[in-house]
Amino acid sequence: MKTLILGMGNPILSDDGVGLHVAQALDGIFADTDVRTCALIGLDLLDIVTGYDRVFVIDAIQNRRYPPGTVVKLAAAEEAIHLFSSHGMHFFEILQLGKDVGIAVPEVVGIYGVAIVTECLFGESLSPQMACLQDGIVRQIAEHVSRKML
Amino acid sequence: MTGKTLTIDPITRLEGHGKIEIFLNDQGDVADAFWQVSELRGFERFCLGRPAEEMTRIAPNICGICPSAHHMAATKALDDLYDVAPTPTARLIRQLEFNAFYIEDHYVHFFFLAAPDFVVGPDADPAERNILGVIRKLGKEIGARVIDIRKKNREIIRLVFSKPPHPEGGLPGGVSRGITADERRRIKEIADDSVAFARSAMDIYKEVVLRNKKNLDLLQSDAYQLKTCYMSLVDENDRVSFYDGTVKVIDSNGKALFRFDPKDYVDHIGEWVEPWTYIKMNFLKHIGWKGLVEGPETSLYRVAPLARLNVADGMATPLAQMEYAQMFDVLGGKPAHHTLAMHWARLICALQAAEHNQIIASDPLLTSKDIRNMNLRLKRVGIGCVEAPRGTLFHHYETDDRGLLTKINLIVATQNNAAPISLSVKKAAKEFIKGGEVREGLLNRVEMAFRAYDPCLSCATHALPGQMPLLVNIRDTGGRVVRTVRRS
Repeated sequence: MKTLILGMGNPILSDDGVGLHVAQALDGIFADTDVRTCALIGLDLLDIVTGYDRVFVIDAIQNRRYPPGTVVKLAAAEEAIHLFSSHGMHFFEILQLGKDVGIAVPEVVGIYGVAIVTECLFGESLSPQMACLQDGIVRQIAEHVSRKML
Repeated sequence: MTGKTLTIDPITRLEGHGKIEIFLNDQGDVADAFWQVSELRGFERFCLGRPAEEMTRIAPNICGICPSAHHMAATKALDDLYDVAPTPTARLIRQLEFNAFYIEDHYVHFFFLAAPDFVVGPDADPAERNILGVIRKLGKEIGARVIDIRKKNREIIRLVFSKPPHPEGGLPGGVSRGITADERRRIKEIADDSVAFARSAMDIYKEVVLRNKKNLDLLQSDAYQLKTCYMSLVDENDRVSFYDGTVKVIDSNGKALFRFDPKDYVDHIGEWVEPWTYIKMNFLKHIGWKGLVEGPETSLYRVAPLARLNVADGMATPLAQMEYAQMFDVLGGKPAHHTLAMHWARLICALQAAEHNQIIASDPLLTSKDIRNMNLRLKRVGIGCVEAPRGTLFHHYETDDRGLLTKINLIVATQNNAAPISLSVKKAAKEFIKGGEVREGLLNRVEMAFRAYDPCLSCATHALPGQMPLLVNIRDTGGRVVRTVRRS
């Protein structure tokens, strides 16, 4: 079974890119699993996930209900920053579109939202607060993914 | 009844964070309306102190929508900064990539953002008013063709600039790789297929919009007309040009006001700041800031597809020229102030891009190995300009004598259009919201007014990607929320 762990975020927007950092940290942990990062939205996502059987998504969320570093398993994508696109459609519409036109799209097995400090800070690294929390975030998501892999 | 404020926040199907504030009077009619952008700026500061060459990789990451446009503007700014012209072959390869980007960009906009309003209908359930609804109406083969033609043009971008959607092939004085004879054949195949698709897309537009009375009425409605000046790049024959040219400006009656070298943009484009939005509002300096007004006295101008066709004397390719003539015939001549005709103009621009790539694919120079001019001389100021899919885009860099950035200014399409977008929203709101009736279909008609511009708030504020659900707050005159409507 071809599995993809997809980290999403903007690499020049600091905490916004937490999904990228976490995905990179997961690279090599799981056998027969590709890890990819992307700052893309809309149809670009279809290109990335096409051909995989299942996908895990890691994205940033900004929601005052959760303190920074909280990992939230999202039942739907409403709260994740990058799963919605402006110029078109959101992640699940993309997958449905793929199915409708006969493209092999994966099952979305898990969406992990990571609460961040701010989404408006330019920078190529995480904020100091999020950087301190990164190892714990990676451990939590790795455990979730391991259970789903069984 | 007391006056109310409607807040559409953030706007559906648009990049970044923006909202519409609609103020109702005591009768429930629209007293005023504004398009607000609530993001913080800061991209320029992020770049200062970096080597200028990094801008071709940094700028495309502002968001995932216009990466090729920012990459090309940055590449051209570096040409100017290093006082070097690209070789003829490099210029062809850049145009090839830029046209491929135009094709994918314009069709994604039309079929994913515009078509739902015309094919599924402005009053349709929002859950149906999307590309899936379009496919249900037009057939799944249309969806497959859009995906296929986009994929093929992405193949061109990958081939020449290595990494779509964030390309990396532009270098000062040239490009990073050349084209082989085998690659030329594949490029020609894709260009031929793109022209065929472009023609079928024009047919779909005519069937769906021009031959449907409701849609034609919407297109020609006064609610969606705005009399502004227009700005665009044109080539040496005053034809629509995407990659290069001079900037031409016409007034709201279509009279040519002036033209200028993009390097002189600061002499012609003023930036006005309003306290209620973070986006700067551009105006024509020659006229001076006259406020948010349309008509003969306005200093506001529009960019983007309709502006391109209004400003130019014609298209640069034959099939696109035929469509250009038909469009202005239907719309009653030039300039056409029909905001919703942006979609039509967008399809004509995509057709030109496809035809131009056919021409480039047959150019003997395309496979030359002379792809870079290395005669670089740092002159510390560089300005690049392209006609991006969303309108005229300027990148302005200044450096120290080591080539490290000391100043950056970007004028992006959405900033050019900011004030007209606000005015377009106001006109549509006044037309469609009356007597306090605020239903989904009416709000969507207001959104259609600015969606036609395909604004990209991330670039305009240099801030943030992403989108959130629609939130409508209705407030009384004291600012108290009396009703909230949320659409996800």
